[in-house]
Amino acid sequence: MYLRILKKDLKRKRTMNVILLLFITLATMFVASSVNNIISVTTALDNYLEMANAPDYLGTTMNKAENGEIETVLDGADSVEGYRTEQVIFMANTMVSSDNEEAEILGGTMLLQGDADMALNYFLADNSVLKDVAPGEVYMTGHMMEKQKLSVGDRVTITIEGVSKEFRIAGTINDAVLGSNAMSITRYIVDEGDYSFFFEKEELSSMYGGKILYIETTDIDAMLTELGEAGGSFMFSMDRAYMRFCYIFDMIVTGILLAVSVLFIVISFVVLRFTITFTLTEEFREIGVMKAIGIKNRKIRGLYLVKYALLAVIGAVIGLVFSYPFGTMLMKVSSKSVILTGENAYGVNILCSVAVVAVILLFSYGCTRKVTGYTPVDAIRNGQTGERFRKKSLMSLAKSKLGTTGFLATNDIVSSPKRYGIVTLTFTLCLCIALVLSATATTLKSDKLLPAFDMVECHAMVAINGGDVMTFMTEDGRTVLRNYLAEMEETLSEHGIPATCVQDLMIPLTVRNGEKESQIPCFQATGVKIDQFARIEGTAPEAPGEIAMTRTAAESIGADIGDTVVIVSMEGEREYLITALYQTMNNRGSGVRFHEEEEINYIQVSGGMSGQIIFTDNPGKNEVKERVEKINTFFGEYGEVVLAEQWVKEAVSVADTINAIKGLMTGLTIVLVALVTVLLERSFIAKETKEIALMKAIGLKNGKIYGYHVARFALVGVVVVLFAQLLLRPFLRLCVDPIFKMMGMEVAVDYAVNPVEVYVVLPLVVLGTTMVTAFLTVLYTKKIKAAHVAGLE
Amino acid sequence: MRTVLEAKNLCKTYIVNKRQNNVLKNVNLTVEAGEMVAVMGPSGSGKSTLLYTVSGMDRMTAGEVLFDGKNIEKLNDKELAELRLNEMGFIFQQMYMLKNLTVLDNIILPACQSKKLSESRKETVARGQELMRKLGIIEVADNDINEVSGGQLQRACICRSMINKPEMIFADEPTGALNRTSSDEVMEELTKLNAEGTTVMLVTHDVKVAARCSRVLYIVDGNIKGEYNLDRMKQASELRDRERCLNNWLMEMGW
Repeated sequence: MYLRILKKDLKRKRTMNVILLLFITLATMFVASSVNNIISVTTALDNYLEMANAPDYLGTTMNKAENGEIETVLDGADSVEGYRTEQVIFMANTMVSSDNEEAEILGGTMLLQGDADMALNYFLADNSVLKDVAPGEVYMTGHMMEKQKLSVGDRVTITIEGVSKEFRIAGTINDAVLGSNAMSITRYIVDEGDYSFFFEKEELSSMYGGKILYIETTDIDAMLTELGEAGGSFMFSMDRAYMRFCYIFDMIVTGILLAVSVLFIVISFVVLRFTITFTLTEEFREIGVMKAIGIKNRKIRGLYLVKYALLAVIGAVIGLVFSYPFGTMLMKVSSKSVILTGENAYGVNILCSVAVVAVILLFSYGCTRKVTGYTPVDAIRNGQTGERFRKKSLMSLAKSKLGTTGFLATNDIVSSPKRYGIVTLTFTLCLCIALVLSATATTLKSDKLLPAFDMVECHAMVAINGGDVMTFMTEDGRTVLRNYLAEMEETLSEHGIPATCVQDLMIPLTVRNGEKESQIPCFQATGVKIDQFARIEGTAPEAPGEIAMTRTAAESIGADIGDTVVIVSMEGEREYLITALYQTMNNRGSGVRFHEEEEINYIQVSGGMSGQIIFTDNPGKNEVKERVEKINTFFGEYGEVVLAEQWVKEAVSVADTINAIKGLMTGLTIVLVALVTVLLERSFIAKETKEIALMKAIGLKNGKIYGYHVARFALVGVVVVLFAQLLLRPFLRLCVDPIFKMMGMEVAVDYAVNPVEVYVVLPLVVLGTTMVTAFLTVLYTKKIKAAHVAGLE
Repeated sequence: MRTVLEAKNLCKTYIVNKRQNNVLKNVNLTVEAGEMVAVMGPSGSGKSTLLYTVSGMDRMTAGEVLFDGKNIEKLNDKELAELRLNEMGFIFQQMYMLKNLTVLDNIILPACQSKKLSESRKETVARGQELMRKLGIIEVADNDINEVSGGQLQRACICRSMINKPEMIFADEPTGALNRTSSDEVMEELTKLNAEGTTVMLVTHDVKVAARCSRVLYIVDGNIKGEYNLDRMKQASELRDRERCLNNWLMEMGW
């Protein structure tokens, strides 16, 4: 019997069932692929690091700051199980040029090394390991090559202090340790002979030469203690956890998709609940009759559950099938820099699909509770039991100033708040998905994110030529830097641009609080006062001897505001008072900021952030754009200047991917809104057939009926747009804040929105989709004849 | 007398499960202005189908229907809706009304849609209230439709059918769902309306209802088998006599 009733029901409510099936399919597809991708990326990352022979700890030193002492310490350290060394040359982007006119050699650290002492496994495009490099050829980090618009076959010329050599790009490498999106370090691997060629000039080795130490240890803390002051010569260091953390950006897209999946599931459940409740309300007669002839509640509920179980199983199976190609596609988009090894975890997809079916069944069981409330009397009395607890018609046409179409639509909505509440909730969730993605994509390429990178607010960024940065990393580097920035400001002033230039330098130092100590990247900015940097707690350091610390760094050594910590530098130990806490996405949230007057020997500087330019006359957005273009025409000796938001976009590196995902999701949202509208409008038409026939019988034209039905969705759409705007911030906090928190942010970032997109385009797209779909669906009422009012078919 | 409605060779066929069902077979009839015509016949004989087909609520399969000289088959949906809105009134057995509106709102809805009387909303409301007062249901004007009795609701339906001052009212078993008292009240109102000049055509099974009409058509198997003119019986002015005469005639027809 069940099957016969089921077959009839599936046929009778075809559109409704098909749409429900689509929702279940989409929900399963998204959940299964997102969960699988997160697990795959996480496990694949571990495998990838193992395959690459990644160390437990990595440190880089420069020959000018270290004289081989560290290797002696490492040899004698009990906690060190072994270590490998790669000799490298630290290069600036000005040292590399290409014959490809479209190529843009970006700033950031560049490493040149030979193929003789490769301490890691570098993977080629076919996932094989790079063994050696032919003379005259070079392999470079894949995603950096793409970013710099270089291709295999292009020629690059490396020129260091007058020593020049041309190479042909032979292929790309995947560098598990330094090649993540977050690191953006370009490694060039050449033939050992070609590498040695650059050391013909002796001073080149002492000025630019250095090494990367890959250390194996089971106890990093013990190792760092044993390294003692020698560890202070590391200009950059990271442990295995940090290496994994650097792939956080590869997780962002998958994470956002998982958040979107959750919203899809919520929408599916809302739609499911609506459909079940609607079906039960519509079939009160059948339910009443079944009860009258003695069928038990459990059996009647089972009848409906069989239908939803069937839909859930079919939807989940289709969703499961599609989740594989969909997941693979997402993986390709989101995790370009990770080599995925081993089999895809198919079991995860299956488990997710089973979970979706189980949750839908439980939910459906809850929704069919309504069956117990119906009695045979309902069937007899045509659904009217005589009980009434509130007035149905809340408005009055007689008193209303609205036209009939507007009145009927508004009156329907206020008379059935539950029904239209569900519609509003569904559409609000749909629009929120699009708005959240839009705001995320906009934020990830907005200058509002600068404070999250521990930078002062500015108009433009300058990728100061690496060679120049190296001149700051000397004993008198501080004076050199001040003069350098003053020159930059003067040059800008000569061209009619009043500006302040800022340069932040990083000095990795050991910070101690009692027994606890940690190596923490310390920063000092020149050209700006420390109180211009964002803080989350406390007051900015007012004099040398005071510092600001990130909470992550402070917690690592058990310190807080008001505590005095010891910082060990090459000049010895000195005490500093912590006056403020701040947050940053750099260095996994770890950092110390010195007062601008603090005396520090810049020979310990390991690198610099991009320079910042603040126009002091507060120009408008367009003016800033024009100025940046103008500056680039005369600023060549300092480096390329970009808009602050452009810099953020490149720093985050996934902004474009999220933008693409946003496009995909907006498209999907439109489809969802359209499907929900069709489902709801068809349900309304089914329920209101007699009323529509009556309207026709008393002379209402089709156009009026179309207008009345579309107006209901339009009104709901307007409310949805308002609600979605109100809910945007809470949704961002809920869905996107956790991602920023994973990157070290404690206090939420200041999200940026594209006003045209968020306040005009997306609301209009959702509103337009709803209205157009409602209109196309309501055309179906043309089939309803006036005579249907009397039951004539 | 002016002919309001004329049907010539009217046919209506339904096809259900590939089976042809000829409900109306070459029906010819005329209704003059001011007449009150009852259509009677056994269940399934095609009474309601005749009513809905001649009123343009349902499309005919063949034949011709002239309403006020207009061939309704040649009118498009929009023109037909216009005709129903302004020139026809409908009363159904089930008192169909829009459930989210009050009784008064349901009554004035067609007037708010119509441009026939070019009046303000206030005037429409006043007219609606006047009609309700006339039919004795003014006290339920602001009630929901399920807060009133069946008789009150059917009288509200009559008000709605009258709101645009139509040429003709079509009623499909208007007293079918009412008790005797309510039924008498409703028929009293319809008779009054007819006396005031509104043409009425109604379908009924009830001899008491049909006895109030000027003419009765008896339909069997989609054909009008006979008609009985009650007005010619001058001596039968008393309702009970009219019922008796009609009963006798119906017996002859095979009722």
